[in-house]
This record gives sequence, C-alpha cells and structure tokens, in this order.
Amino acid sequence: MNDLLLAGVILGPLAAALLIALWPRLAPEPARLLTLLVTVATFAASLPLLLTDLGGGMTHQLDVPWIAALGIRFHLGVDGISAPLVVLTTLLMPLVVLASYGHVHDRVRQYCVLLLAMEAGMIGVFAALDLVLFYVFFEMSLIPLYLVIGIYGGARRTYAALKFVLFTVAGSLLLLLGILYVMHATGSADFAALRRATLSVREQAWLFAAFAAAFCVKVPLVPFHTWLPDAHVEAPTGGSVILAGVTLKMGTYGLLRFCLPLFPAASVEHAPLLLTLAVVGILYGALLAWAQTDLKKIIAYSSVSHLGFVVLGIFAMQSTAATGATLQMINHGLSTGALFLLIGMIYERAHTRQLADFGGLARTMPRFAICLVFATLSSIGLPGLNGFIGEFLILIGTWRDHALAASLASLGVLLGAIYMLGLVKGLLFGPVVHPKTATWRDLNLREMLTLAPLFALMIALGFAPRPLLKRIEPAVERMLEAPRLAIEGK
Amino acid sequence: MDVAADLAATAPLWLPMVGCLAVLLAETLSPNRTGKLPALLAGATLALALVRLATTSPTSRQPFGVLADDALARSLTGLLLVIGLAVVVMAEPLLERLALARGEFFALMLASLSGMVLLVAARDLLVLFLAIELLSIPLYVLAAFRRLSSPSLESGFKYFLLGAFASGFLVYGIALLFSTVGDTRYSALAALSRDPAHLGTVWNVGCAMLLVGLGFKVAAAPFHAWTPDVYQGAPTPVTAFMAAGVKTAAFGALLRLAIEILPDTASLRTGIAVLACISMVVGNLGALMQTNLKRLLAWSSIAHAGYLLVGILAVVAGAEAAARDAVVFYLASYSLTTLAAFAWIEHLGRETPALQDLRALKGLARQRPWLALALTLCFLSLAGVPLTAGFLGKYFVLKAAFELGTALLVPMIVLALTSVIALGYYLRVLATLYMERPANEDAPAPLLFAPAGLALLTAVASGALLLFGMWPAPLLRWLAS
Repeated sequence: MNDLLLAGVILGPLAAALLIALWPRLAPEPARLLTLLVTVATFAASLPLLLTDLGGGMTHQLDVPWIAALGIRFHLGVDGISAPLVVLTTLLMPLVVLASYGHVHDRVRQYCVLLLAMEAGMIGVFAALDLVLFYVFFEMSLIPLYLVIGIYGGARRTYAALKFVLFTVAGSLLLLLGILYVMHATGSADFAALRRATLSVREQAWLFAAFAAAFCVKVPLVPFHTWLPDAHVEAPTGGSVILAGVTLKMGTYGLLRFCLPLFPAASVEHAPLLLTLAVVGILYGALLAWAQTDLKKIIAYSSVSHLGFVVLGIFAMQSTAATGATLQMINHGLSTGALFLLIGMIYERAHTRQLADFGGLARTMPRFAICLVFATLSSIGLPGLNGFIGEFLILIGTWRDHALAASLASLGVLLGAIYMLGLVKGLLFGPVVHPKTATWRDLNLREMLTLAPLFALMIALGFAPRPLLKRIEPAVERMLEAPRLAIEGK
Repeated sequence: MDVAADLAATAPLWLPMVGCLAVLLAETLSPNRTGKLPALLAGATLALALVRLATTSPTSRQPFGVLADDALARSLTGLLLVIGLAVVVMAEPLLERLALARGEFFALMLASLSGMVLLVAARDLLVLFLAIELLSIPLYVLAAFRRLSSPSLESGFKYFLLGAFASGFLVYGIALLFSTVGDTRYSALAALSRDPAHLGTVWNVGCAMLLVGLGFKVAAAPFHAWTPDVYQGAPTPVTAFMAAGVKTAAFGALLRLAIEILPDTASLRTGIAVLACISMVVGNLGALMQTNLKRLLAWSSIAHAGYLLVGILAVVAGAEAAARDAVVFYLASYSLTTLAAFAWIEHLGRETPALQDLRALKGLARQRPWLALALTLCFLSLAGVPLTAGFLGKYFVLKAAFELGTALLVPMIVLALTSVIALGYYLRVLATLYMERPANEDAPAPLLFAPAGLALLTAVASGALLLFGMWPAPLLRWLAS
C-alpha cells in the first residue's frame, strides 16, 4: 500500500521553496515567516512517522516508478532507524529559521529557498529505499548547503564551501559507481530486493570500499575529516547546525543502513579497520578540540570525536551498541545543534569566537550561562541527560567483543569532559575580558524559544529513552542479521 | 532503386540544402536588402524538415545504397535540426547588431548543417568523408565570419589549418581500409571485421587514422589543441553550433562506425580507452585554469568528449544497445546544455573577451537572479549534479558501461574522479555569481543587449535541463523513435 505521508514531508518544503522563489515581490520578512510556518508544519506532519509502531520493518512506504528506462524507482519508507532521523531533521529546521532572525539580514528570501530545498533533500536521504534515489537526495542536499556556507558564511567561505563539496563528491561519485555495479550484478537498486541478493565476497569487498568511502568522508572519519572544521568555522549558524545536526548523520546512517546489510562479509572483514579509525577519531578529535581557541572549532572537532563513538557502535556488530549508536546520532544532533546555536548567539553580540576574548558571562548573561551549561552537560554525557544513554549503550555493547576499543573510547569521554568544561569555564567564569561585555544583552525570548525544544528533548531522552529505544532496537536488529550470519559463517 | 522513395526518405537531409540555395537566391536577387528574410527562410526549412521527420517513421531501407534511415540516424537528425533552429535564433540578433551579411551566414550554416545530417546517416566511407568536408568548409568560414575581428580570423584560420590536416588522416585511413576490402560500404567492411583473424596491420592502421580524423572533429585529446582558441574567437552562435552540432554529428558517425564496423579487438579497446582518459584528464585540468567563459566551455567540451568516448568504448566492447541509447541521450543533454550556456553568453551581448571574463560576472545573482539561475542550471548540468539532464547522461553512460561488468572499470573510475575536478571549476563559476560582491554595488551589471528571442531560448533551454533531469521520459521516447 502506498502511503503519501513521506512524499508530502519531502515535497511540501520543496513546493514551498518554489513558491517563495517564484512569488513576485515577496518581501523578506513574510518569506521568512512563511518558511517558519512551513517547517513547523513539516515537523508536525512528520511526527506520525515516529508514533507508528514500527516493529522493525519499513512503514509508510511509497513505491512508484520514476524513470523506468533507467531503472530508478521513487521508493520511500522509514523504520526505527530512519524515522527518528527524519524527525530530528524536521525539528532542527524551524529552529534554524528562528535563529536566522539573528544573523541573516541580507538575501533572506534566497536563504529560505535554500533551507527548504535542503530540508527536502535531507529527509529524502533518510527515507529513500532505492539506491539511486538515495544518491539523488544525497547530492541534492549538497548544493544548497554549499550555497548557504558560501553566500552567508565568514571570510573564507568560498574556500570552505568548495572544500566541503569536493570532499563529499569525491566520495559520492565512488558511491555512484558502486550503486551502478550493484544494479548490474543484482538487477535491482531496491533496498528490499538487495537484502535478499547475495554478492560474492570479492564483489562485496570492492563495493564496501566504494560505499564506505562516501560515508566515511561524510561522517567524517579520521583521516577524511579536514573539511569539517573549515566548513563549520565559515558556515553561518544555521549552516553549522544543519551540517552537524543532520548531514554528518548521513554518513553514519549510510554505514548502518547500506554497508552492514548489503555487504555483510566485507563489513565483518573490515570491522577492525573501521573500529580502529573510530577510536583514533574519538581520541584525536578530542585532543584537537582541546587545543582549539575558536569556539566553533572546538565543537567541530568534538563532532569528529562524537561521531567516532557512533561508528564504533555500528561496527561493534552488536545490537546494544548499534542501538546506542543510533540514539547517539539523535543526541549529537540535539546537543551539538544547541551548542552551535548558542555560539551563534554569542557571536552575534561579540563578533568574535575566540575563547580568549570571553570571560565572566555567567554574571552578565545568566540565561545564556544556564543554557550553555545545560547543552555542555548533555554533550559530555551527564547521567540523567540524553548523551549518557547513548554513550553508555555504545560502550557496554562494544565492551563484550572489543574491550580494548571500548576502554580507549572511554578515555574520549573523559577528554570530552575536559575540553567542554574548559570551554564553559572560559566563557562563563573568571574575570570579564572583553571591554564591551556589559553591553551584551542576555538571551531574548526568541532565542530561548529556539533552544527550548532541544533542552526539553535532552531531558526527556535522558529520563525516558525507552519509547525511542524500543523503536530503534528491532530495526537495528534487522540491519545486523546479515553480518551476524557472516560472523557465524567464519 | 526507387529514386522517388529515396528522395522522400531523405527529405530532412536535402531540405536544409534547398534552404541554403533559397537564401543564396534571395541574396542574389536583392543584395544586402533582404533583412530578416534569410533567417526566416532558414528557420522555415529547418522547421519543415523537423515536421517531415516527425511525421514519418524509421525504415530499414538504405536510401541510395549508402545512407541509413534507421532510428539512430533519425534521432540524431532531429537533434541536429533542433540545434540548427536554436543557432538561427541565436545568430540573427548578433548579425543584425554587427551589420554582418546575414544571407551569407545562414546559407553557410544550412550547408554545414546538411553536412552534419548527411554524416549521421552515412553508411559508406566516401559519403562519410564528403559529409565531413561539407560540414567543415562552411564552418571554417563561419568561424572567421567577423572579418574585422582578429580573434575571429585567428579562429577560422586555425580551425581550417588543423581541420585540413585531420581530413588528411581521415582520407588516408579510408584509403587503407579500402585497400583491405576493395569496398567502402559499411556492409562490406562489416563482413570482414566480423572475423578478427583476418584483420591485419593495414586494417588497424586504417581504423586508427579514422579515429584520429574523427577525434579531431569531436575535440578529443590529444587532438584538441585548436579547441580553446577556435571556440573563443568564433562568434558565439558559431561556437554553439560547433560545440553542439559538430559534436553530435561526429559522435553520431563514430557511433555508427562502432556499431557496424569497428571490431572488438584489444588494441582498439585500448586505443579508445586511452583517448577517453586523456580527454577527461586534459579537458578538466585545462578548464581549471580558465577565467574566460568561452574558453572554459571549450575545455569542458574536451572533457565531455572523453565521457562520450567511454560510451563509444562500451559500444565497441559489446554493450551495443544500451550504450547506443546512452550516447544519444548524452549528446542530447550535452547539446541542450551548451546551447543554453552559449545563448546565455550571447544574451548578455558578451562578444568581447573582457565581458566574457568570469570577473565581469561577480555578484550577478544579486542584481539579476534569473540570469544567474539560468547559468547555474547549465553548469550544474555540465557537472552532472542530480536532477539535471547532465546527471542522467552520465548515469546512463556509466550504467551502459557496467553492462560489461568490470571490463571498463579504469575509464569509469577516471570518469568519476575527473568529475570531481570538473565540479571544482563549475562551482567556481557559481561562487563568482553568488558569493562575490559585484564590482559596482548600486548599478546593475549592464545588459548590453538582450533580445527577446534569446531570452526565450536561454530560459527554455535551461528550464528543459531541469525538466529532462527529473522527467526524461518524453526525451527518451523521442530519441528512441
């Protein structure tokens, strides 16, 4: 049965983007308001995806032919892995629009069009069940983000945006070759059909390399991470939130969704390599974050470290760890999203992001201080908040078979606490450094409203993760079936 | 042989020829006072030929024993006629503005076009040679059509010298092939090439020389050296005609050779693969350095010749049906894209090098968002970004090449990796349009010259890129019929 909900969630923002682009003489502020309404409506429309009892299989499926001559189908559907990611995307978009009131004052309409086009592409990535369609959405979300970074970003925006695109595309063109080979070898690009197909071990090894190349660049896994700090530092706040909150998850999502079930033998074979890279990423990312003086760079490198945990959880090939990894994708979206929003807010006031320029904000901006502490605690995994559940599940899941990797990774948690608390200390406490500190207003209502949904979810997921985990777990189990068989076969 | 039926079947071929004569006649009867008449005559004959093409269906007959009337010939003929129409729309305002001889221009253009149409139908090596000369000689003149502009003269002269050289290779190759078979008809040559054991050195050298001759016409590296100068110097409508028309016609001929004659030998595979890889690498690296839009498109056309050669390679290696459709679709999407891009350049009246420079386009998106969007679509399509026709072309070629498993993996990986380089310079154009500040913030960039016809052509062509990228079914159906 075809369900049109997902198509609506994707095409709705796209139609709105077209409307805003084509509406003659639409003033900037009405355009932004319209975008806000559309993104809120999209969020509301996407909620049923999460509320349906998923039971591990794909729901809300839509399967119609698109370009028959080229074997491309428009096949959408979500399960317990993708539904939370779709909702995370639709949740972050209205917040990004709200945040844009603070920092986007020029070419607002274009910004709105780009955001909406990007939203459609990102939801499509998580909902596509046809490999070619997945590729189309993967690339489609890229160009708007390129323009958002390149038009609205900082001084070195053109360079950073180009670097971001070239890194991603270098990976994704290999992915395209891989997809085409899969189609040639199995005669289908449909995810459900592919799970039943069997590829030889040799084929799997090559295909795994092609797919993993695209996804590891996107995650980004060390040593493919160098584009990330540049992109984050130059991107406007909204761009950073989307980049960290959603687009990085496309990489880890791709690894879990495609690499494990489609190339199980190769995944098992290469798991030690991926686990090593993940641990290196966790520690190296954390050490780099510790050494930074630019606020955005600290968070950017912390993303490298946190996404390392997710990859670790996925390639532990164990359901607790993989469930934790999926939850951690959501957690990272929430906490890093909040941190980038907060940094954006302070940057709008201070026009600097150097840690050394700040101090003593706890006295002058108490609301900001509370929010920052809250987001930081979520990010470093304080028990009672969401980050703890994800990291804990990943670590205990990994511990069973990969004790060394798990113990090294837990060092990363410690390092995370060090650099994040260092950031909090530098910003909030100590003597006032910047001469204009007193003139910076505390957070206003709009800014509080932007952050509130994220904080509410951090608490909710921290205290009651069960409903979400219950949905994630069966879906993750299905992704792990094939690799398990491959392990037993060995 | 039924001459009347043959003539009826080849109407799209001789109609442009008749148009050419009609234009010349009009010009002789009333020199320099014909106004828009040549353009109208040219447009009318091309439209008539298109109608004729649309109302008949392909047959297995071979008009005059040396031509084809099959689906391949007809779909490429249709494409060439559309390109011709677009060039008429593009050229008329320029000729009027520069007060150039319009009658001569359109007569030459139609003559060249009939050569192109002949080329995609040729099933005899001598007809192939005739068609290439008929295509080329008027084009040499057209490239140098702005007699008082030295870049245009340079362009025509360079094209002529190197073109004549390439013709030498072609005719020598034909002679060698003739010497092995004693016949120039494809059917006779095909009979021999089916049995590779009989193919000697002479045959191989003949094939290689044929490839060199056609490689020059399609601007494949290492026979590409003329391309940037000729593309830049020629009047923009002529450049568009060269980029879209010559490429379509010469690749059409190559496609037919690959289907009918060229044997699947290791040396030929290697040869085409090397040409393809060199073209992709040289074209894309060359484009990386360019700041002039027309030169940039010239280098990118070299790279696209490389991508297309991967399709030809797939045909030679055995994935005939799929690769043929892929190459035809690629030619259609590439032609559409280049036509849109050159129409865009012409629309802005950018005939002088200073205005074709990328720096003159800084911040255009701020002042003229729709114009910027049109060029953006062209470059995204050239780069092969999904949802544009250019992506489907590349996808189609790669999919066809994978029909042979991993046999062509090396050229395919080169294709993928050089596409990353390509994105580097295509996105630089976008960055110039969107991310930089205009030189003069207050005054919009001057539209020197923006006739309605060109605006329409640019809009339709770039819109079609997006439309066919999302919904290619009509185009595929049209090309298949």
